[in-house]
Amino acid sequence: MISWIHFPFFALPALLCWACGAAFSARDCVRHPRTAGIALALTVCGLIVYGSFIALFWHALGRPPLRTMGETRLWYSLFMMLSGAIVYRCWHYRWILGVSTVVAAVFILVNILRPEIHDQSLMPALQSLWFVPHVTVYIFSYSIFGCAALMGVVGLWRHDASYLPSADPLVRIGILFLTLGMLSGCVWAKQAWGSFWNWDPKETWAAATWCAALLYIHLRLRHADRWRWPYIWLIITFVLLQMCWYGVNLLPSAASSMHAYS
Amino acid sequence: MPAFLSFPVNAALAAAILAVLWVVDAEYGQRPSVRLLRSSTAACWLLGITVAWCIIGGLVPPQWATDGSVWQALGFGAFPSSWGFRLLVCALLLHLALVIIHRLRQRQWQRNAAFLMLHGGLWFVLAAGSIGAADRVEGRALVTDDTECGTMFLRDGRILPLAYSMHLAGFEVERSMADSSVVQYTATIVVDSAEKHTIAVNNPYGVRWDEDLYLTDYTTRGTSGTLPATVIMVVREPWKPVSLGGILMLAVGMLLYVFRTPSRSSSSSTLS
Repeated sequence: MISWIHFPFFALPALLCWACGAAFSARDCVRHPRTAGIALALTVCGLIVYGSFIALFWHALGRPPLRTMGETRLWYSLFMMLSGAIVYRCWHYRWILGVSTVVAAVFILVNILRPEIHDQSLMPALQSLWFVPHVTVYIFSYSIFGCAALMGVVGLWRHDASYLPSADPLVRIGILFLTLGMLSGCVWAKQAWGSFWNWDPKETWAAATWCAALLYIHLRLRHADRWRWPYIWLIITFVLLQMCWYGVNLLPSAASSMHAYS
Repeated sequence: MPAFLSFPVNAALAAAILAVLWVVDAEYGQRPSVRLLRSSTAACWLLGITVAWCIIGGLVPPQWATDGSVWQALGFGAFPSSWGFRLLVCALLLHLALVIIHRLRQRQWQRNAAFLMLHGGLWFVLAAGSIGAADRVEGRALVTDDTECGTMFLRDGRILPLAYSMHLAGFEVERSMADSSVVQYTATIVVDSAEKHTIAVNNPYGVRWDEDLYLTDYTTRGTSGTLPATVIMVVREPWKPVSLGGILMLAVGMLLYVFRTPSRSSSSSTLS
């Protein structure tokens, strides 16, 4: 029967595949057309190895592995790499598999180095099929908006508008995942608390973040030739994301939050 | 939301406003004022004000907004139900309705599919949450195994009758092996002395198309039956299908927007 003891034997080879895939994807796919295919194949190999552990573990437990902190982190890594592979397949960003691999590696290493979280039960409200997709797509959008905000900082620093055409598709992908995260959260909130939206402090910051990202898109539609305000809004969006993610926990209003466990 | 705005008044009012906006767009659509109202400039301003409002609402703790304080006077006491925020939501609904109607009148469905799904979905979600709020009823019922429960208590102290009765037929608490903390609790209830239904946190029971039962708490104190008394939250929300439809439209619209919008940059190497 498979258990947590076997996790490193699946996770580390998968991580190796993903790291090799990320290294191949970093090469210019225009000059080396085969590298994109090799990078994707290696990523898929890693996903199969890692997914095999989840499937076997699920079978051994007799229930979906979604009950403890350790079990949910299994899914973060899987979905992070899956999202990264889809984005790389569609848009060929040379850095996306690298970023996804680093984030996935963090969750894998936490599971290996902190075995005490394997038995740490989630509170009843968190035991939902929505938990993993909701958190994963949010984390993925955070990493995408982080890259876009970096472009904003560099563009403002250099007084150079040439970063905006690269930031636009990033924001489009980021807002897709941000929206899916928010909508899955709405449906989950209805299932757990009885209403789609409660204007809880975390939800208020999530709404501010989403509107800020939408504002960037509308600004770019309205004034494609202006560059200062779009860059500023990219940075504001990222700051709001940080508030939504963990900054809200530092505010006095966090005490009354329904998301107090996060 | 005031009770006089409940169904059918809210639905009729929304339909009348949409009809007026349709006529405004058809008759005066090219006037500078109407063009400004549906422009992306208006969208930017509304989004900017929403961001600012949410930031202030998120930063002001509820204890600051006590009676007589500046924050309460400005409407940040109960931020989502404040007059200013309601006005902002109304402005967003009107702007969204104008841009949707304008695109609908162009009749270029395929070209405008992503736009209509996105903005239409957002309109339905906002409308269900604001216009539909007057129809939402949330109460709590104490359900035990020894008596039939046919009423629910509202937050303001009123008692409302339910269209059915229920009693508890079973209750289970699952505890952690490590520290004996509660991992999950499940109740089996019988509605109208008929079928048994199992409810738990994250697993509500839809007793009617517009009404769901949620297990929120339990207590072993002061109960005369053999099982603990369970607190069941009853949520009556007739606009739930509208919200769900809006959420689905928004998700599909966002996917269409991302995968069908051509990139501004000419090649993938530029994006790299």
